[in-house]
Amino acid sequence: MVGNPVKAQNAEARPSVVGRQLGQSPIARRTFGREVPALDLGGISLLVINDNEFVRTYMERLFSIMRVGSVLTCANPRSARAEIATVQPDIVVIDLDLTGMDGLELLRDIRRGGAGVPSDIAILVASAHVDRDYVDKARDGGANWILVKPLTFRRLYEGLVRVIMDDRPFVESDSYVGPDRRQVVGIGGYDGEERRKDPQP
Amino acid sequence: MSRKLRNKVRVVPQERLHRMEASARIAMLELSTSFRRHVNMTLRDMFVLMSAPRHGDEDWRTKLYELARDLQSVGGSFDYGLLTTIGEVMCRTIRDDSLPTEHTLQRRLAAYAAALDAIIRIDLKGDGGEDGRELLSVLRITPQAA
Repeated sequence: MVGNPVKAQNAEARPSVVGRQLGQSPIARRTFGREVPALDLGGISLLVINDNEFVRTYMERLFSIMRVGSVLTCANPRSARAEIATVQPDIVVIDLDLTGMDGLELLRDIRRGGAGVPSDIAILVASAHVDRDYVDKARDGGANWILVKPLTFRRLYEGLVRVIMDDRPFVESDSYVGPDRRQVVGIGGYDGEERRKDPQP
Repeated sequence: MSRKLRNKVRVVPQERLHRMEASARIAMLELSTSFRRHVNMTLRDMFVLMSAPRHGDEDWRTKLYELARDLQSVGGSFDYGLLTTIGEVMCRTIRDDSLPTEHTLQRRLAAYAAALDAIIRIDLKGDGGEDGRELLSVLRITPQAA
């Protein structure tokens, strides 16, 4: 397991799951301004799971312009788990609108350790569904960031950067596995009053 | 997770991002030909399905849904926002079991498919301006529904 996973069931022993005093905003250390930082992505490897050939070509082209170190694609969602285990990418990019397969199921499966990679692997999700309910499901499935289509260069780039800069604690509980949902991923993120008192994610 | 990933990247001058964005704009122009080819093929498949409607057939609906979803998801990336808007409404209609009759469903789906085709044929980009508003009005798609 990479990073700093937090067992939610042990949360009572600590002041909060994010290791800070409640009522204190975590955002100052988490954001890096309104401007998306320019990053050299040459050391990053991606696995794009998408069964639409045109969209794969399109995304590969944009990731190439971003100079991402390695971009592999998986055209068959049914073999996605095996591909992830073989490739061991830094970031998995999942399209939730896969043909004949529920992308959310794949997302949850990865988080539950069913894909042969650490369950806290970075996951960027893309979805054509704009309704809030669907986005919430992806978030509750443990996605690090959710891109709502249309996918533009800027959105894809921001999504990647947000996933890379995502330093939220990783939560593993019976009901949820994924980055702490109580915190935003910072690019000029939430800077208002911290109102949540409950340490449970 | 992020520490590991952060160690694999480094911040570079913002100018580099601006150059990448400029390259992306050129790439989009180059990809626009294959985009149109892709959309035309998708529309052709859609009309083949529509020519033999089987609304009660879940498999038929799923195939049509996937084609509409495809257009919905790629349209906006190439500044065809109306493809996305109408594709989204078409997706919802296909999944809507509350429509009163099959005839209603068929009429709506045929209208949406024709509209998607028209958007590409007359190159109605963005929200289509006045023409786009008229088209949505004819289809009885309100801004809220879109």
